[in-house]
Amino acid sequence: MIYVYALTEPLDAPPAGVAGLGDAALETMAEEDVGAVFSACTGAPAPRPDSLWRHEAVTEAVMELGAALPTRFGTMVADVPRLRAVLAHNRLAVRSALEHVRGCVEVGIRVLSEQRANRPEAPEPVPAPGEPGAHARDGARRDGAGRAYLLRRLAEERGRRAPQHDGAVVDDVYTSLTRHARDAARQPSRGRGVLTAAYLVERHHLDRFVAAVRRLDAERAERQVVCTGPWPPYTFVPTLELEGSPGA
Amino acid sequence: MSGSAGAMSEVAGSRDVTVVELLDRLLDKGVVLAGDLTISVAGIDLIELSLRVLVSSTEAAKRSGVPVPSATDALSTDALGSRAVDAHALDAHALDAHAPHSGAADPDHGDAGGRSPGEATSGPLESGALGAEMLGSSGDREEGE
Repeated sequence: MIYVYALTEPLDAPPAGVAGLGDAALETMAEEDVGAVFSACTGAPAPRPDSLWRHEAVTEAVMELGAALPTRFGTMVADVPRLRAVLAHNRLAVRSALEHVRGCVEVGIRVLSEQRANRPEAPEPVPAPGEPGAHARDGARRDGAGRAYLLRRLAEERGRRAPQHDGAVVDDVYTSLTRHARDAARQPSRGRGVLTAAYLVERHHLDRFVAAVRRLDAERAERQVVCTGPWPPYTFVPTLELEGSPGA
Repeated sequence: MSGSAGAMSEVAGSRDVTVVELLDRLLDKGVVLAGDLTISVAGIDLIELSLRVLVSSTEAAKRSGVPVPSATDALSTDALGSRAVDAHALDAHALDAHAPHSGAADPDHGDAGGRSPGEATSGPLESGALGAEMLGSSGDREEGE
């Protein structure tokens, strides 16, 4: 069984200075003009931080050698011939994706909701949104019900305000950053984010991109714009056809 | 080694987001080569486990010369609420930002009560450094100043 970290162009040698999962030696293989970096493995990696980190570290090291398409964590195939078959079957798609990401890194953007107040029901307007702390203190004489009421009103108020901002802010942030990126993908927001997006940014434009993010963040006190990366281009990879039965 | 105070607070606010960003990528994105052999990362067990992973960006940050948050910074895994099943259990756990990237745990940090990675199936996983710099907070150092 082999564990695959990234699809690449044919490489002369695997990245130096980093070992694969389980400290297995990294190896390379090529199928015509595409290749892969892999290591031998005996089974699925333990779902532990060091495994996740190792996958990421290998992928980052491979990126230093050239265009690379990171695999999903835990991607294994039976053996090199099997990997060769998958690559051969998807060679053009892989090749095209490699060209697409060449010279780029992925940058993650999240616009955070200021408070995880997902209480959509907000029927009554709150007259004085000004000093929630003072209100809360008034009602906080260990009177659980009163305090809970005020907290609920506060949450409602935040929830009521949020939607007005989110649409415009999110569209604005997303769109304005696309100007600085080769590609972009917007994802369904979850949790704290009102916007979750990934951008494929040319390395030499990273400064410019980050500067744009900082400007956006500074302009919007009510929403934090968080930028993470640089990542391998996890989001900008092709969906491969798994020829025939992908059996082991 | 820190930037402005503002930058540092951004770092603190960004780090928990980075955990989510990393897991989103490792577990949900990336090339899939063999449907049935892709580890059962989509399975709930691993997802749950992964949500308990406390990670830091320290190693990658060091590598790139980005200012590294102090070791005492707590990484609130509450941020994992976006995918968490029971992230609340993790709220108080602190991360030793200087933990070795091999993933070796230092149970003295955080309130995991000495649970080791070996017991990860029942408790939060301890730190392993995961590679993701916070550009948003330190980007103007990127190959610049």
